[in-house]
Amino acid sequence: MASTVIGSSIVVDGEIVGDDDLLVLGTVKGRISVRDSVVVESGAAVEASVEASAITVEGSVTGDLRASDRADLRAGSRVVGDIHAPRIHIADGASFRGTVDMDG
Amino acid sequence: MATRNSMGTRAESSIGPGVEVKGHVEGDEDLHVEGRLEGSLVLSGALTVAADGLIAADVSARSVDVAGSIVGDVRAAETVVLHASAKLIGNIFSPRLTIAEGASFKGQIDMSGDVSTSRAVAASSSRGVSRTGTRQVGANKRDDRDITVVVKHAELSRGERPSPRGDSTDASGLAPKKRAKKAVRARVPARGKTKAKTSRRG
Repeated sequence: MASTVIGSSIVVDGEIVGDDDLLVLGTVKGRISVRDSVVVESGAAVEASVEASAITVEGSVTGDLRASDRADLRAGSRVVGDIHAPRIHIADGASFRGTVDMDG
Repeated sequence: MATRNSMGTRAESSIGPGVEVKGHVEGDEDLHVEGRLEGSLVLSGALTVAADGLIAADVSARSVDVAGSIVGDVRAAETVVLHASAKLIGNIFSPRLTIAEGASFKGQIDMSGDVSTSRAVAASSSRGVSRTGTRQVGANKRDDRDITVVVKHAELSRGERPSPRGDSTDASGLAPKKRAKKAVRARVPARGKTKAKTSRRG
């Protein structure tokens, strides 16, 4: 249960930095850097680089994903950008374009 | 509350205590701020600022409920409530207002609901007020002169620094812009012999 929620009608144009879990249902443009997990819900649109320990995508992300723990692209997600994560899961039905680097 | 249901457009948006958002935020729903928000905020719903929340932004919402700190202008279509732990440095534009005892507030209040006036005031004063405001966040409540000082600072244009405390003793509340103009001393008219000796100063 995330304590920071960007609701479906909210548009953030800037950066989000913090320690808490982040749940994005709306739109974020800029940069996201969170210590814990980031979940991009289906319907959400993120045009930002995302940095977190765990990143889960069900919506749309245009930007690089850097996860220190794992990155998870669920069915229905659309990701355009590079993924840097030691563990990665791309589900059937996910749409992805970019490079994957699991060395980080 | 904010569980992962994709149908849940009713989930309340919030900025958690360890999170800082810098930039412009806009939305059609309610927002609860427990962390920091810097930039600008336009909501059509209700804004709630928790006791440890800090907003350094001009805010516009349907209603604004403050238990934390806001540095910036607050515009509400319905009501603004400042609780006892609230600290607000900035102007309030709202048809209804509640300031609880214990709240700390410095700024102008406009309850007329006149949008054009409020925008004009905001345009001229928001920079001045919020800039000086951030420096004075730690200032304790003094006497009523503080409000005059804030208004005066609103007259400064961008980049100008307000003068230090000594200026509050000036007679007029609206001091003209300070320039580094030395006092104009009456030029001593040349008087024959003294002309050559007179050394110019200035």
